[in-house]
Amino acid sequence: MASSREIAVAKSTRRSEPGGVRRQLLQLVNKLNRKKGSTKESKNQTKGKSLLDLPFDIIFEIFDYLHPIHSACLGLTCKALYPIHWSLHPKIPLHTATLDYVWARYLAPFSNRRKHILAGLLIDWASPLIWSIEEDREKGKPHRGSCFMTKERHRELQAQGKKRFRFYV
Amino acid sequence: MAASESTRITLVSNDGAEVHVERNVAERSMLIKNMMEDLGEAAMTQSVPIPNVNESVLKKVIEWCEHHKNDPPAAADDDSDSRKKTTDIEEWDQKFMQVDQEMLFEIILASNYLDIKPLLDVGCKTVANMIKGKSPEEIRKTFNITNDFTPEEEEQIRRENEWAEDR
Repeated sequence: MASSREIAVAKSTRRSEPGGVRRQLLQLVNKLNRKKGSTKESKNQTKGKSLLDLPFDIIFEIFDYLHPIHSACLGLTCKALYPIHWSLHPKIPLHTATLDYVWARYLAPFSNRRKHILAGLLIDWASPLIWSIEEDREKGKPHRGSCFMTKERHRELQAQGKKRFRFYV
Repeated sequence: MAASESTRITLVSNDGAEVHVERNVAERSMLIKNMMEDLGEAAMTQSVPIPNVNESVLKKVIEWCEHHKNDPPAAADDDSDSRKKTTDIEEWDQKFMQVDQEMLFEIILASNYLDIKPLLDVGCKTVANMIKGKSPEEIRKTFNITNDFTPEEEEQIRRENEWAEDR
């Protein structure tokens, strides 16, 4: 676990680098180009093509069609795609949800809404950390400020009477 | 060749197959359209090589062009944002895109090379729809992507996105 000072440093460096995304994208283009050459041989062995075999501008176009939460999931699949997501939707909160999330509450109240909210899609990705969030019972919308945390920390918070609880969508 | 045949042109795929197609159908491809304009009459008598596309993909792409030959051309170069937002795909195109992933990617690459913007859009939307609602791991499995993040890097992502508790 990183100390708060480390986190603060990470944040301040991020802020002081407005050109960071651009540089990352440049690195990405180089990486994709390199990848294209290196996968030529392995392509014959593996039947399915990888998404990374598509040219950079087409991958960008696909990202363009995605809701920020789906963009995040695609970005988290590998290092080559993450900078594209970041350049389009930097820092999207975990409680970001699609319209389907709210609609499902009325149209299909017992449906699994996990697929319509970022935190729900990242449950496995974040494991063993767990997601803690409050939901506004009246509006059916999740509150801001949800985050992943360890089980120990979660128990600690509960013991302190904090309202956060593990939330299944 | 009869006079009525003059509206047909011959495309040759990269595996040497000849594909005969009406000129106005083939000209859904901006690449071919421009080529035709440059070549003029010569294009009618000679076959046009399409070096980046194989026979099965070329036929598939032409099937799409055939169905969409009467679409208003304005939609093709409408580059505004309105085109972007929605991932709705018309029913015929949805059925058309029900192919294996290899073919889907081939169609996308071919439409990119042949410069058929509406077909490229349909392809990208199809991929986008396949991504929707999937977790990162499910996306990796679907598209053969290898996770090259180290646990430390994933931790870093959690922190820079403020997804992890700040304490």
